[in-house]
Amino acid sequence: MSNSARTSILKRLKTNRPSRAVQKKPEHTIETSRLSLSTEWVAKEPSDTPESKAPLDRFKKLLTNNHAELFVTNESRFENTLMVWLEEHCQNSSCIVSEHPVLKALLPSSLPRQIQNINLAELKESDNAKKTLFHDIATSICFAESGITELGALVLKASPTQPRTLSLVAPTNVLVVKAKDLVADLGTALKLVFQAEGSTPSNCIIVSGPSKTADIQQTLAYGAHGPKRLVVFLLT
Amino acid sequence: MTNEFRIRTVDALSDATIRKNFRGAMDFLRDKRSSVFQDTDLASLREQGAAIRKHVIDNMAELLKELEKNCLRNGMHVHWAEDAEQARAIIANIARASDVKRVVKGKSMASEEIELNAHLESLDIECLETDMGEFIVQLDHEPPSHIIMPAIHKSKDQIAELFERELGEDTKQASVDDLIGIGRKALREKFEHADMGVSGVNFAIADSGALCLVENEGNGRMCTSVPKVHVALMGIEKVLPSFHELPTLMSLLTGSATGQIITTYLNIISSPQQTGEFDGPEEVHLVLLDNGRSAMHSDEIMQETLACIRCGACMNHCPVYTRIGGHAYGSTYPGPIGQVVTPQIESIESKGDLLDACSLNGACGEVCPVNIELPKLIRTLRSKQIEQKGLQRIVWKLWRATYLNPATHFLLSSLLKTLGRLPLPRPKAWTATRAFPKPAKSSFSDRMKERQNEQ
Repeated sequence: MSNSARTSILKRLKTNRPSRAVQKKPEHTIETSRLSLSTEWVAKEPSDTPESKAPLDRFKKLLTNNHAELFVTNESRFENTLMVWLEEHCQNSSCIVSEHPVLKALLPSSLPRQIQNINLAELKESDNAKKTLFHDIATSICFAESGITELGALVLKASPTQPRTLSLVAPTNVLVVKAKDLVADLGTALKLVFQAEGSTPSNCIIVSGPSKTADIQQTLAYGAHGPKRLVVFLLT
Repeated sequence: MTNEFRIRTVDALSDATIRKNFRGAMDFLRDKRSSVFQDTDLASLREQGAAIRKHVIDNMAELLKELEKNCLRNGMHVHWAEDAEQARAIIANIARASDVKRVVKGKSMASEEIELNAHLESLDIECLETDMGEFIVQLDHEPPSHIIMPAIHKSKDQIAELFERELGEDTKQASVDDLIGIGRKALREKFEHADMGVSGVNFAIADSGALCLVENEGNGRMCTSVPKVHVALMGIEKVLPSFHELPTLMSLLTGSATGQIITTYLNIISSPQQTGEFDGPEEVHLVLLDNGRSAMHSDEIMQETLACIRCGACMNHCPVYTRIGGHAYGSTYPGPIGQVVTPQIESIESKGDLLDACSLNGACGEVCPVNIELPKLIRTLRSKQIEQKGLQRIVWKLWRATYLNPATHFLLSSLLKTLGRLPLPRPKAWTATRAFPKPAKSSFSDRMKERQNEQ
């Protein structure tokens, strides 16, 4: 059935193609749009802002406007800052840390004892992995490959070390991103993910805040299905 | 012509709650859209968007073949459906093959178009809507009333009542946050145990074989990454050549739909679970749905319909939609785009009456992010409709012949002047809401003659 459907759909699209389509040069049109993608969309920053600082400020502003909690620190202080935050917010609740190699390098020591750390490697082997993920984990910590300053969004790639549901099912999701990995716009971010050497991720997510909905009377509510809280550690 | 549409329209117009809910929601969405585009060169952005969509229409067969090739390379399955029935059968077969009992569904207008829920339920497969708005309308056994905000016709209090009735929750004091919390709890359990996830597709990237899905709630992520089977259903027009075109259309889509520069989540799905991965679907199926689209493609004027990216801006700005709401249309797609799509997918004979719901004010065309000339398309369909109606066509032909000739025009206007003064029965359909026009005492040409004589 599928095969004959394919043939007839394609045949109709082919035979029906109007003659004017042949005359135009679509490549040119597309090329123009490629060039101006980023500049068109950026809401204009005041011109007196120093150029190097403006995108980072925009990134921070957009994220916080979108209800994300932002902490700016540097790589050497990060571990300490995170531990303090965890001790304050995750007492007696369980936490899972992605095994992303960059995150592992940033967090050499184990989590404080008061925090029940669920080990990802052990979870993967468990028969109840899905149940644990859905019911037992309060906080997940993941690494964002990159961020988009124009949109205030972070780029997450699924991988064996960082499963896709990790950043989705926990009520609180912590994302760690390096300022040097930030790019200007969506086009650049997509290029980095999909045209870089190595394999394409099976799943890539661009995140700009905690899960939300305005489906009831246009009133914004957070934590519709994904995390209620999105905490971002920006490493400068 | 059926009168159902008229009846529903009259009902909707006399329902004060519907009028109030839609008015409020439309004002909200219009404000959001205009504030997000404030500092943007919207005209250029729209031109870019229109150029990209035109390129897609002109090269659709090639792009679809490329998309298919690359999706297969990435390990997805690709299916082609000529109509709703085939699409339903394909999805039912996928479900059967994996012994699926519970399906969770992300927001997808294409799945509404093929009436998937009812079909799966007839096969004893639970098919649950997971977008909060869709969940609410499904719970009340209603179709969505807006393509972006499905439960826009309901107030908070109505939803609280519904949750109390259907979910047995105490919602007397419930705030919107509480209500969303109730929905979250009910759906979490469903996500955890679902066997299959169904989603729509906002854009499919031909040269990469990737599917893009925008959403704010995270239910799309749940449906496409938790169950072992993921089925993505897309209209064949949703294809894009490459990722290069995505940012322009994303900005136009999210800006026009909800006034956001980007949604909370943009999902880009390239393949099923890979070796070594812990989660993600084991199978990803892409169903390419024609259902009248290739027929639209054959019409040089009407093929513009396929440029639509389903943002809903045309309905948000339509004075008719704002007043009658989405349900009155009685079709999957309401508002201006619905008036254009529905008669083409079904038939002008059965759905042509939708074309009456337009004052030709042009607002839809002015806001369309990809510059679809909706008023022109509505007029074109109206002409086609008249061609099919013998009597109307004859009347218009006579009118044209009469008005082209001064002598016949004079005869007709004198006749109407006389008849208009006689106490004849009036056409009720017209006079029920309007005053019957009174003929002027003297005609324009008479008065001109008088003036000339005076001088």
